[in-house]
Amino acid sequence: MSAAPQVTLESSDGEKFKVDKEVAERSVLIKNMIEDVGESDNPIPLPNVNASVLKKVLEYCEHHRGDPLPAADADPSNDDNRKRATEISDWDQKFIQVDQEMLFEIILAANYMDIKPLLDVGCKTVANMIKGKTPEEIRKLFNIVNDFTPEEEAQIKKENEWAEDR
Amino acid sequence: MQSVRATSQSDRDRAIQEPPAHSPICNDFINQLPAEILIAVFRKSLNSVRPGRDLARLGLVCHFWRTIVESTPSLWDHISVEDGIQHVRHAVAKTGEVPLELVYRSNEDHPAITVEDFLTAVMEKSKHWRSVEITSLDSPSAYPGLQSMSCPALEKLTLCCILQSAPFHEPFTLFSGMPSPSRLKELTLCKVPVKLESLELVELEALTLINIGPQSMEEITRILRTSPRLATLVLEDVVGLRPPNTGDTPAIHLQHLDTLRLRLQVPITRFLLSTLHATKLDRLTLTANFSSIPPSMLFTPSITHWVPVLQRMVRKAEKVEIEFDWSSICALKFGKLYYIFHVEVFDATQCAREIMDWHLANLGETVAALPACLSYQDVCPSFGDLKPFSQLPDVTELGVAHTPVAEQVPSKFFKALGSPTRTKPPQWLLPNLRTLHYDLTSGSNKFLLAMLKRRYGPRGSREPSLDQLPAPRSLREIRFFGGIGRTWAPEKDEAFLQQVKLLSMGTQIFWKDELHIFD
Repeated sequence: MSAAPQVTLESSDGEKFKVDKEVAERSVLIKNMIEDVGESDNPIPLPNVNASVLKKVLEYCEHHRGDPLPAADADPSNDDNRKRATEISDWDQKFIQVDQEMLFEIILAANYMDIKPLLDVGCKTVANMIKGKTPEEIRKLFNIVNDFTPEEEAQIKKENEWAEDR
Repeated sequence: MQSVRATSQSDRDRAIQEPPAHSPICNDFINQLPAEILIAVFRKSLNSVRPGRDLARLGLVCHFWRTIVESTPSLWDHISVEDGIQHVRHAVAKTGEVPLELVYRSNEDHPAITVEDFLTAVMEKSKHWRSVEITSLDSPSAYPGLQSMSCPALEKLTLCCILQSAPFHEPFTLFSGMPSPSRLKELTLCKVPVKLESLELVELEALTLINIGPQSMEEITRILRTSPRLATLVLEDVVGLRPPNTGDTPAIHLQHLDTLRLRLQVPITRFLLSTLHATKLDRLTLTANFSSIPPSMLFTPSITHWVPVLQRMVRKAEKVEIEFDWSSICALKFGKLYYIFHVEVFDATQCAREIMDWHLANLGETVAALPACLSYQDVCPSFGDLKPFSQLPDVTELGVAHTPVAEQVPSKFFKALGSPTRTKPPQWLLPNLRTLHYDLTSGSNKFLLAMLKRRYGPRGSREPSLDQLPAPRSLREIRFFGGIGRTWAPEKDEAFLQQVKLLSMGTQIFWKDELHIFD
């Protein structure tokens, strides 16, 4: 029995990761690069992803290696997708329990490497963190500076009076 | 990424061109995400009941977020009356050309906003309505836009009136009498008197018509014939239908139909069963009121084409569930094949037997091999009620539940289970019974103990004639619970449970779904 074909990925800080081609191809970016360049022993450079993040991303790809690939024309705004908007599987929930810096690095890497399900998990996780929180709680959670002047804030609140709990 | 790509290019361009008016501090990670990803996050964070309130909160976090919220039409596409009419108008102004989802659900919080107000507020965007869901208490006198416009982008339309006692208004025409929106995939009408004549629903995948006022069978069959993609069909309480008088009606082939639910007069259900051909059907629910026609009549028309479909459905079932309740309803469930019969003037047991016999005769081994579960809700089955089911191959479960108000003790039920038949040779009723579900209205029941002693008790402890009978299969478990809904139970009586265990020769005892462990 012949071994599964493998590819080597190189992170921005020069670390090399040898993984099964099937795992690497969960990334549409890598899949397209392999198709464009053909089989090669040269490492595939990923200049936007450092080693610690790439390791985490590959852990996700390894776990989901056999999953069906998402439909290219899935409409995120339709009703069914809306209902599933923030559902995350148990494994994914544990996987994404990381500090905020790593969470946003994973989201950026998933976006860059074109791994839609991982990007989706990351966005859902952040969405769940936001849900039900006041603006002040959101700012505190994400270290966001309130850059509204008191007058601006008062004006917006006045405009939003309709949104207060009735 | 697709979820991000799905946000329109113009949304993204606008959001990205607007520079954030703040300088993110170094660990403000979230604001280092591209705007398109932040939009995807915002979208997922919106509550579908009051998305406007959530958008208002997001817009108060910082300038960057406000810019994104205010300049991204796709974030405003779900418009709910729960946010109030001021928000509805604000959202409409924000949405640009994006397809809209409109939701009006009657709620005490906004009693002053009528359906007419809501639809009028969004009418200028009727070209972009993708989904409209109106659930009102009373039947509105009008549906602005839906009656006067063609709504070309509409994919889903739900019009429901909740109050069954609300009077019907005059039947009205949708879409200004023009052909239906060509993309309409899902149409649900409940107690809303829509004229079906002008509807052409070639892309329709789900049709639900419930109590929509008098309709003609010709219109219903026309819609079915011209909706080849139909996957779900629900017709309930549609009045005025008459089966065609003349000749054979050509078959209607619905190749994609997987769910069919009918609650119509028996002759109409018979006609539809004989006319519809749906080889991929996966879920069938038939509800019928046998007030003047015997139950067997449902199966007398030419429905041989259903036999392979029903066989396939029954093959997936793990058991046959047969239920009776106080309101003369008899239900038979074979997995996803479900019958609900109102049998005021017929004997419910006889009805269930007739249905079972039809299935045994026509579906053969697929039914015969299934274990059966008999269940009685506020009905105390007698010997005569249980005896017909002794001929079923394998009744393994029996449940009796009653409202715990009247302290009813179903003595005749236990007497029946504890008495042999008078056949030669005599035998026990339901000899394969393994599980007994019993609703205790008090802490103990002497009739249950007497039954266990006669039926399962040790030799020598009961009448000698009973020892001569072939023993029934041993009980595997007795499951006690309290009240219909299983929310109530009397205090546990440990001594009573000890007696049950002893007389049932060691069966497992569950109390409200938990295995009882004896000290």
